[in-house]
Amino acid sequence: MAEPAGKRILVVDDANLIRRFYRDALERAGFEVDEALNGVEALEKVLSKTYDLAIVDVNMPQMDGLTFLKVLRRQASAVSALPALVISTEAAAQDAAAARAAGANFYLVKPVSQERLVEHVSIMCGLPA
Amino acid sequence: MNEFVEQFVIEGRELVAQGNDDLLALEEQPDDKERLDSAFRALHTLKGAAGIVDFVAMGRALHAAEDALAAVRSGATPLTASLIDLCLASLEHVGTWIDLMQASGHIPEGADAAADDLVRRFTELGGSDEKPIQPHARPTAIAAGLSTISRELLEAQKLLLAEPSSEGATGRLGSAGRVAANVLRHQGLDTTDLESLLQTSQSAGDAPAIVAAIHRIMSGEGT
Repeated sequence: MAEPAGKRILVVDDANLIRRFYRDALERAGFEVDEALNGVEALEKVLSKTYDLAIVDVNMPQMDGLTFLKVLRRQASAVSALPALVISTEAAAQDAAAARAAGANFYLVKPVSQERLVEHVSIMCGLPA
Repeated sequence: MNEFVEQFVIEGRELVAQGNDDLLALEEQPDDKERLDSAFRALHTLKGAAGIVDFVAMGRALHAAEDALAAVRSGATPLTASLIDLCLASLEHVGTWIDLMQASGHIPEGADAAADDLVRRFTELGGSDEKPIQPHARPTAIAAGLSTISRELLEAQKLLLAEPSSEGATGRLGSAGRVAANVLRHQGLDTTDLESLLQTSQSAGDAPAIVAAIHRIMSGEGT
């Protein structure tokens, strides 16, 4: 896997352990990682900085992941086109459909191994195989 | 303006746009039978519309264009760049005529001479030995080279683009296009065509065009 120079990922999850787990995997693979604890924080981040991908949990306090995505996709600026990977514990098919309806580009169900995460993120960021 | 002319103006514009799209697509992929059929139908329907409003000159020009495409469909003549250009020029005339009809409510003056000129050019085309347009070089076996995850990601973008809600549609379209282009980039494939398509489709909010492009990529037909 080539060095993902300059690719910046926003991890949005209220669980500390999950954020650390993702950050650890992504940073070792060479990604730059920012974190947000909920949808509100995530919105502030994406509006103030450019990201290549957002990894978004569904159930979070203040603003859940799907609401965040809906608000994101409605933005008038280019930030509305930010690719988003939803990772959630909700396994049912209707949750994948709900994530898509909110504007998620892909949906993975926890637990997601570090290898699997990095693989998906790398492809979604367009890194060479 | 009578109601037929009104209808003629509305439908005529749609058909001109359809015909233009089809012809431009044929320039890229001359062996796309569906596009050829669609272009033919657009010209044919336009000719019918001209008949309804007694626009004889327009009918004559379109008849010549239709005949030319019919010969290509039957395999009697090859699809050449000049033929497509002339069909596009005919549609441009038709578009102008429609504008003039909308403004005045009457058959525009000078249409006869312009139509005669188009017919003459179609006739002359028949005698040339121009080479057919070659399909653009295609990356072969793209589909075979896609990893499972890449394939899943592309499928997901197609589904995302097919979401019916108008809310956030621009964002969905933009993000799906970015991810699709990134998947191709990841696979070491040329994304130039898809990216130019993305730019035009995005400003037009044309999700089906991007879905079709992804579909072509996945079925191994190249971008």
